[in-house]
Amino acid sequence: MAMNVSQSLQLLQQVDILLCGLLKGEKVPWENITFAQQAVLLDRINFHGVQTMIWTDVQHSNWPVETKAQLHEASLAIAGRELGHMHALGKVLRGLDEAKVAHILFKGTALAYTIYSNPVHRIRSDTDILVSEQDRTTATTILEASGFTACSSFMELLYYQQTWRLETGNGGQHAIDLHWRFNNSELLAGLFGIEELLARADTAVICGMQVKIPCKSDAVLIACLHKAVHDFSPYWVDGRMHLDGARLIWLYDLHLLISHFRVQDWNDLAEQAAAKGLGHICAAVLEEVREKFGTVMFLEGLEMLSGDSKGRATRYLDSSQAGRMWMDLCACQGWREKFLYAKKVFFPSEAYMRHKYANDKQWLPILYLRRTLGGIFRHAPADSHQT
Amino acid sequence: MLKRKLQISGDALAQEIAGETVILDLASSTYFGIDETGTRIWQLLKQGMDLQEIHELMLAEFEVSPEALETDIMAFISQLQTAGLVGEAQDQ
Repeated sequence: MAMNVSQSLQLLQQVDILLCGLLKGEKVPWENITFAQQAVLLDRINFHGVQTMIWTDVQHSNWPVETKAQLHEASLAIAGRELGHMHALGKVLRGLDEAKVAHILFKGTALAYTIYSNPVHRIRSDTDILVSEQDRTTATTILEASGFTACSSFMELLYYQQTWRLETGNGGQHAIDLHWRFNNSELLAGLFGIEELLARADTAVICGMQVKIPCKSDAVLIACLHKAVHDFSPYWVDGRMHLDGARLIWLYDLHLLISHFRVQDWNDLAEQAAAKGLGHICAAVLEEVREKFGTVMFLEGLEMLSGDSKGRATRYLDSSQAGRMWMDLCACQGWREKFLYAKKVFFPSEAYMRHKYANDKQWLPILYLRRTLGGIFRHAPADSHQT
Repeated sequence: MLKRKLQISGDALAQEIAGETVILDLASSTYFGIDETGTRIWQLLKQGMDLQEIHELMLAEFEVSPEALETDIMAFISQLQTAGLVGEAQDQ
């Protein structure tokens, strides 16, 4: 039976509510799931990146054997992948330590090894490492020495990060995103400097080493920002592009982070959010977390966040693509940087253009014209990655 | 048979998930999956227990006869040895 778009969206929302229930520890008997919901359930679990948590929840339930078998198989594969990834990452982290390259792990891997009961529950496609711009060359040398190869970036317009991949030999690969600024947006990149993050950083044991990760309040801000950025910036799950910040795993990160919060952490969060102009965004994302997972929150803390005046970062995130581009241009320091930014946006390299328009063998100026007329506003995502 | 102490290979990395364990042998780049009982034996080997201690502890944890448990432990250990995931402890 055919469904219209609104019925499909409604169905996905119903399944998401069901998955939130499972993640909250509720029992969901199979007979409570309609046929239509069953049909999209596994797809939705994969999209949200919660296979291993759902498998842990339903392994002894009355869910059908085939459904459980698929979740079981996926979970074992994810656990195996985790082993390989951490082995590969360990080499890189040891290299960075030996070379005395200051670095901080953020987002997925940092959260997996701190707030999750089992790191395998925080499924991720890569590890994000931030180094200073001066250390970028040393860091890339270490990645090469550890067997990683730089991706010929499919998006050269990502200015401040590069993806490195290690082929596993059995068709798989591990990826590390090396960042030398916090974000690819000029404006958002200025929100967190590595020195600032390191000054407040916590330490976690990752790959058997003491590794710096953002403190709890920074981790919350970064997670809120990440989610908000993906409301307009694309990301890929299993090769499919998505353009919304709807993944439950990102909200679940925040649920766990906030669950570890004390009153002082709320004060720190409110202070940092206000300083960075992220209070409104943060409050909106945390409200969504509370709605989805019933997270216990310090209401005065939420009020402090939402009471902030809308800062530059919030206005940036609320803007149109053209508005964001303008704000990024304004955020460039000095005329030379502004010129370089404009040049990259309007006239990216030939290699990039040939890659982007691979099926179009036209003369290069024609491709630039085509890009300017048709695609200029689909320019550099602030935080684009495969996930 | 049980008076032995084994040690886990330095090339074996393990990750638990929902009561089971996935092991990656770096030497052969091979993955192994072990069930809940195997996972318990693996955990106890990791804690440095000898097979006798493992047998005694599991006997208290599982409803099983001593003979059946010994057979299961030895069969599992034999598989681990064949795969190169454990070897005789050097301090024995």
